[in-house]
Amino acid sequence: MVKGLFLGVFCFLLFLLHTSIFHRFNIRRKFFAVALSFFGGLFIYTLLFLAVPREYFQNIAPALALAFLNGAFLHFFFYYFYIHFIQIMDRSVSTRMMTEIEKSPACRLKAEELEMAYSMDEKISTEMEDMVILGRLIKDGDEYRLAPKGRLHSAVFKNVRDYLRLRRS
Amino acid sequence: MEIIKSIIIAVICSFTALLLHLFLNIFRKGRQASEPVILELGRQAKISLAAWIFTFILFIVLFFFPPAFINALAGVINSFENPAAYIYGVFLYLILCFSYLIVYYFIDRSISATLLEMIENSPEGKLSIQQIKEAYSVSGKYRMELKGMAEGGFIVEESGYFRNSLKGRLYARLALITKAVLKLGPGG
Repeated sequence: MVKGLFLGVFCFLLFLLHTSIFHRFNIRRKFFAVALSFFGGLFIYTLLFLAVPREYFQNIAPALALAFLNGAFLHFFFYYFYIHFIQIMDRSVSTRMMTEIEKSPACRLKAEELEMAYSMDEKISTEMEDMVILGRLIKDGDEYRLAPKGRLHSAVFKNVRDYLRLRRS
Repeated sequence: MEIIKSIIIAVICSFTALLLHLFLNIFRKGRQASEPVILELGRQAKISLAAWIFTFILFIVLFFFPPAFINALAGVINSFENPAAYIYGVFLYLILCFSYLIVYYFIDRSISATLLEMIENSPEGKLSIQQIKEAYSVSGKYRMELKGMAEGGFIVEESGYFRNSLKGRLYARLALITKAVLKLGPGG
């Protein structure tokens, strides 16, 4: 098991190399590039698993501590997965659009009908209201300006987006 | 053998936390119609985190004093050690990539980060809601979202109407069930 654990983590680090490729080159089909890196990593994992003997990983770390960390990581990963699942089901624009179509009497809607049931206008208003509650924005009369938390939030996202050359959604 | 035990215990404890969270939701009022969307999401995050922390105590107890059935199950899996190690490595690789992709998607698609950047880059450092909606090109975004969903095979356009594909229907049903169980309301 230790072999699978170490090789899995190692290949994930290899997978992350695509971030430096995104930074250096202007990759247009980013989703395709991420998928390619993913399957490339999986292929390398399989090759390494077949090539590297199990003995290399014996005594690499104290067994009990490694097992405990592994289990704790898995336990909190399931939380991370669950909370993101709830967030996507609740906040995603596309999820809301699909549920509006599903709830309609004929299970189909024209673009205008869909926009009446749930508009992007409404989404923007919700986002702004949420950011005021979260302390990202300050409402100044009819206008919004950034709070210190919002400035930090914006800087982190801007830097990561610039580094990976991501378009603004 | 110890790692196999830790995997079994983590699965048991996380499943217990999930059931606990769902059980607690039976007694909750959920999101109120007039309240901001983020409040209930924040409450759900806190309650589920409490459930996971509580079951982590159970994890520690079971890890150091595993019951016989966990030892027996770990023994059975350990008899296929090589394939089990391969599968676990793949699983670990998958969940690490998945965790990264959640963050990647979050940063890439975040509307709030784009709005914050827009306000920051405005000449006076502040914008009204109307100016934000104009600058954000709301109708353009709506069309892009529909186009993306059609390309992803979630919706189908037929003579001016949009309907969910089979994948879209399953996804929408899952979302409706989740929203009903957790009392989230329409969300969005």
